[in-house]
Amino acid sequence: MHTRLKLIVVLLALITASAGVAQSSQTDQDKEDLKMAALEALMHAPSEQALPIVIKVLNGDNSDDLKEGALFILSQIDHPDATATLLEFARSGDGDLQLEAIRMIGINGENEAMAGLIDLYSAGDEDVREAVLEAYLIADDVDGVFNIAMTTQSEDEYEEAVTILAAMDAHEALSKLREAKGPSDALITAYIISDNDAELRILALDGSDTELQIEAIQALGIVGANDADTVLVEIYRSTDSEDIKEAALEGLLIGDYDDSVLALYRASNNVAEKRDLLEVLVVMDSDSVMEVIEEALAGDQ
Amino acid sequence: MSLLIRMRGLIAFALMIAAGLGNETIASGLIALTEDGWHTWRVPSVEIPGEERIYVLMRSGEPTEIEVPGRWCNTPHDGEVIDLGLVTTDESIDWLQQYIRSRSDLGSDALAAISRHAGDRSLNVLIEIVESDSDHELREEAVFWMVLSESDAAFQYIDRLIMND
Repeated sequence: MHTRLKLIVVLLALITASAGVAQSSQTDQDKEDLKMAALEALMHAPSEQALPIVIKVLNGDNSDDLKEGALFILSQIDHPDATATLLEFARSGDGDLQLEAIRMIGINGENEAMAGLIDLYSAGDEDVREAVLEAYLIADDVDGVFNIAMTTQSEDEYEEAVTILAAMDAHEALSKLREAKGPSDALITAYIISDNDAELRILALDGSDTELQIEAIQALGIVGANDADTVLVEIYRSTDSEDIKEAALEGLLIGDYDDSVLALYRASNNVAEKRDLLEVLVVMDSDSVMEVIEEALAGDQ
Repeated sequence: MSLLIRMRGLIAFALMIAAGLGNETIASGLIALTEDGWHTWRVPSVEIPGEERIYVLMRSGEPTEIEVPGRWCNTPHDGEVIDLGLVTTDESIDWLQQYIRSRSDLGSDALAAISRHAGDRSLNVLIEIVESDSDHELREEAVFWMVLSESDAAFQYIDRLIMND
């Protein structure tokens, strides 16, 4: 009996303790939420009153979440001290806070801070470089990304910069890159992302690198510009290369241009080619397939 | 001194105090704010010197809108308004405090209005909510309006709130 009583007392103590821990963590979360609410409200306060508190949060022993919130508030404050603090954290902050500070410079978009990003890129590790590119993207700073794409010696960094330019729909910069650095896989992908059929046409007709030309022809079908089928048919008809023909046909298939494939089918006198074209029409689930089959059975074509 | 003379003295003293308050007497009677339509009253503002004008729309004996024109909103309307004149800070806050737990925006508007009052009372009301109210959303609202009051005392409190564990 005595032992059972002891056991009950121990169990009750354990239950009370675990409830206490849960309540304590809830209280901590409440405190953190209140601090975050106060920080967010500081966005609407005059900068001379908000800044000292926000800077204290960054320099104090606060959670990373709160400090990241403080960095965002700094990005919203139009004051030289806010910009200077963001740059300071972008240069010497630790881990995620440094990366967040870099991105916040992009949100802030202030010229002086933006100008400091290129040095951070040159001196930074992979994460820093990625954050700098994101900052340029956020600030819609095409020149910043273009500059990196033009000067980097790393293929990976070039690809990353080109992809960012595509996300920014920076058509002019992407054209300049082709002229300056020549065509590449990265550029073709960028042209697809940015729906740049004009550049893809140039590459689709450029026979200097067959592999890239094939990629560009297929990409033209993916982008599916208004008269992409005309270009693809022209390429198909004018080439002697089986690979290029196949790529043009794939472009027509991807772009769902069944009328153009049907026209090629009807114009062809080559049985093997007609069979290939009919197969493509079948894969495309074209309405004209039955018509073509009936014509073939009747010996019309 | 006879009782009559002492009474006269007291009346004269009361009149002197009333005269010191200016031509306008402080109104009383917000509690009886039951008539439908827009009402307005003035209180000393948190921005010293100055006054805030509080607007309340009453419907069937209950407020449906509370507005304090200024940085955050315009004068709610330009129609007929029952003007209650200058009201004491305490009376105004007492009245507004009844509605801070209202649903929709009314609660937040009541807190916003409280935050615009001069003196310690308005900040103390907000601090009490922040520190001891069980409604977490209301606590965050109180913090928000405390910051927007832009008073030095409010920023000192926010500083302590954020920096203290």
